[in-house]
Amino acid sequence: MSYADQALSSYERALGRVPDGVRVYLPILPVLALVGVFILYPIAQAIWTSFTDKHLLRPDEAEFVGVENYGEVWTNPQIHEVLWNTFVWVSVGSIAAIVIGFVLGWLLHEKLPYTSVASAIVLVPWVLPRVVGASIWKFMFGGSQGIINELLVQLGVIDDYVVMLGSTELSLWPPIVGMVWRLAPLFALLTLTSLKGIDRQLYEAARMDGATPWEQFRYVTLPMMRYNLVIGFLLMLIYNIRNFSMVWVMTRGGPGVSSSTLPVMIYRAAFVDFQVGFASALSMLLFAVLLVFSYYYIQVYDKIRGEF
Amino acid sequence: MTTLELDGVTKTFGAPDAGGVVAVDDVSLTVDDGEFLVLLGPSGCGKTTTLRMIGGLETPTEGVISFDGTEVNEVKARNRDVAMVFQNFALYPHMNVSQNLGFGLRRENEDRSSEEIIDRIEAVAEMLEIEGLLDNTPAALSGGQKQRVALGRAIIREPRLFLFDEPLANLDASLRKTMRTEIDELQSEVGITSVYVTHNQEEAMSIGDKIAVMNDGRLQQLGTPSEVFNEPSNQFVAQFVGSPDMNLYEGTLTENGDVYRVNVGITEFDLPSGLVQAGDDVLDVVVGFRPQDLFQSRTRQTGGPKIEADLRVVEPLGTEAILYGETEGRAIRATDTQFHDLDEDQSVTLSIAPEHIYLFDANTEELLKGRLMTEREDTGVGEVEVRDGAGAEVRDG
Ligand SMILES: Nc1ncnc2c1ncn2[C@@H]1O[C@H](COP(=O)(O)OP(=O)(O)O)[C@@H](O)[C@H]1O
Ligand SMILES: [Mg+2]
Repeated sequence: MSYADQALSSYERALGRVPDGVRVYLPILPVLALVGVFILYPIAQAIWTSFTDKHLLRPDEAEFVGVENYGEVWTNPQIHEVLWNTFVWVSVGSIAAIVIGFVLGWLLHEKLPYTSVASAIVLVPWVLPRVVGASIWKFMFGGSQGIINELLVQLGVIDDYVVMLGSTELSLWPPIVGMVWRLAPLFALLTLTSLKGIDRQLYEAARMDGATPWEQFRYVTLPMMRYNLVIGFLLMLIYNIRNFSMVWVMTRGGPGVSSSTLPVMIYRAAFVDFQVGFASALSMLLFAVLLVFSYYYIQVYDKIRGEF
Repeated sequence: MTTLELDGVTKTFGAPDAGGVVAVDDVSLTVDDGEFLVLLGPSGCGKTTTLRMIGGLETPTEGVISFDGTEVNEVKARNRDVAMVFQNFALYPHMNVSQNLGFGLRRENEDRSSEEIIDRIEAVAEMLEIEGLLDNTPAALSGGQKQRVALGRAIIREPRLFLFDEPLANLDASLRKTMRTEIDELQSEVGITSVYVTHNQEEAMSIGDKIAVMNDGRLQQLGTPSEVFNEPSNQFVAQFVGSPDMNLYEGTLTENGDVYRVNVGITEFDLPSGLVQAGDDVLDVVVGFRPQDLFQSRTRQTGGPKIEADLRVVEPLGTEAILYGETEGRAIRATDTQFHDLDEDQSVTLSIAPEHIYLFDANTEELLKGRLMTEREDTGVGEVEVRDGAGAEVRDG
C-alpha cells in the first residue's frame, strides 16, 4: 500500500485553502441557485411590482408609485368584506376539517376494518383534481337540480329550493363545505399515521395504572399526538388561506364579493381588472400572513425533531 | 396482600379448530401472599400471555384466575389493582419522571391531594435513588434509570400484585445483575406478591421463592429453586435449568437384588434401590449428569461411576473451566476448578457421586431419581453418605 494513494489531490488542496465558513456553503450552491431563480426572484419581482402602477393592458409602462397601492388596499371598499370572508373561510374551514378529519382518522384506526383500503377511499377527495372536485360540489349545490337542496327539502330543513350559490348571504358556505370535504381526508390520514405511531404498550401501561378509556385518550393519545395535530392545524390554515379553485369554480367569488377570499380578490384584481400593481400589494398581505403561519410550522417541526 | 390462584387457565388465540394458537394450556398454580414466583421457560412458551391474563390485559379462554379466592376473570385491568413492569419499560414519553410516577396514583383517586401524591413520589424516588431525575423526560434517561422509574411506577401504588415481564432483558449484563438484586430486595421490603417472567434460568434461580417452569404453554413444574434443580419433574426441566446443559445418555435399568444396575454404554453402575422410584424389572432410562457434579478423579473421590473421556476443549471461566470431552463417541461436559494443567486432547477420568445422578424414564421423560444433596459437599472430599429413600431431603444449594 503506497502513501501516494492517500495524498490529497490538487483539487482537495485547493478546497482546503477555502475558509471553513465559506466552504460549508459550496455544496449547497446549486440548490441556492435554483431557489434564487425560481423562488426568490419571483418574490422580489412581486414586491417590486406592488410599488408600481403596472397594468396588464400596458405592462411596459409601469411606473414607481411608492405605497400608493397599499393605501388603496387600505381604502378599498371591498377589502373589509373580503378579509372577513377570508377569516371565516380559514377558521371555520380549518376547524371543521380538523374535527371531521380527526374523527375519521380515529375511526380508521380503531373501528373500521381494512384500514389501507379504507384510507385509500378516504383520500379520494384529496387526490381528485381540484377543479373536478369543485365542479361536483357546484353541481350538487345547484339551485334547481342540486341534490343538496333536494336533501334539505326532504329533511324538512327548508321548504323550497334555495339558490345558495347566488345568494349574498349564503354563497360563502358551499365552497367551505367543498373545502372541508377536500381537506378533512388529509387530516384524517395524518391522524391515522400519528395514532399508528403510538406504542400500544403505553395503553397497556395506562390500563394497568387504572386509566379509563377516556383517560387513556386524554392523557396518552392526545399528548402523544399534540405536535402532529398542531402541524396538521397549521397545514389546514395554509391550504385554506391559499385556496382559490374551490371558490372560483363554484361562485367566482360572487355575487358581488360575498364569497370572495383574498386569493380570489387578487385574481380578480390581476386578471379581470388587469391591475397587477394593486394585485401585488394584496398578495403581499397574503404573503405576510403565510409567513407567520410558516414560521410557526417550522417552529413546531423543529420541536418534534428535538423530542424524538 | 394477595394470594393469587390460577385454576386450569387456558388461552387460545384465534379459533382453536382453525389453526388457533394455544398459548397457555391448562395452567394451575398458587402464589402465596408475599411470595415471589418466577415464570420460567423458553421464548414462546406462554409466559407473557399468562402474566397478561393475571394483569387483565388478556381474558382466559378457559379456567379461573382468582385473587384471595375471588374470581377476577371479568374484572377489568384498571380495576384489578395490579402493577406491571414491561420489558421495554413503557414509560409515558411525554411526561417527566415525576408525572410518570404519579400517573397511577392520580387515576386511582382524582381527589387525592397533590401534596400526598408529591410525598409518595418523593418517597419512592428516594427509595430507588432517582430523586435527581424527577424533572427529566424518559428520553433523557439511561436504561437503568428507565428501569428504576418503571419499578417506581409499579411500587408507588402499593398494588395487590406486581407483575414483571422480563424487566431486565433490555439492560446490559452488569446492570442486570445489580437490578436483579434490587428487585429482589425491593420485593422483600414491600412484601407484595409478585410474578416475574424470564427465560433466563440463572435469573430465575437467584430471584425466585418459587419457580414455575413452562414449556409449550404447559406448566412443567412448580417448586423452589432447589427443588427445580435437584428434582426436576422431567427431562425438559432438568435440561432447561442449570448451566452448562446437563449431560444426558440413554441406557437401561435392571433390578439386581437390592440394587439397580444401570447401563449407559459409556459406563455402568449400581444404585441402591431405595434411591430409585421404579417398579419394573427392566426399564429404558435416560441418565443425567450435571457438569457441576462430574469431577476429575484426581481432584475428588466421588465413590461413583468413572468415565474415561478425551478432552476436546477447555473453556476457562475464571476460577473454574468447562471441560468439553468425548467418551465412546458421546459428548460430555464437566466443570472443574483444577484445569490449569490440562491439555486439550489429553484424557481425563471423570466420576460422579451416585446420589447426584439423575434418572428419567425414557418413554415418559418423567423423573425416576433426582439429585440428593450430601454432607460431603460442604467438606469437599469425603466418604459418600447416601441417604435412604428417595424422598429427597433437600437443602438450599
Ligand atoms: N395476541 C396474540 N395473538 C396471537 N398469538 C399470540 C398472541 N400473543 C401471543 N401469541 C402466541 O402465543 C404463544 C405464547 O406467547 P408468549 O406468551 O408471548 O410467550 P413468551 O412470553 O413465553 O415468549 C406464542 O406462540 C405467540 O406467538
Ligand atoms: Mg414474553
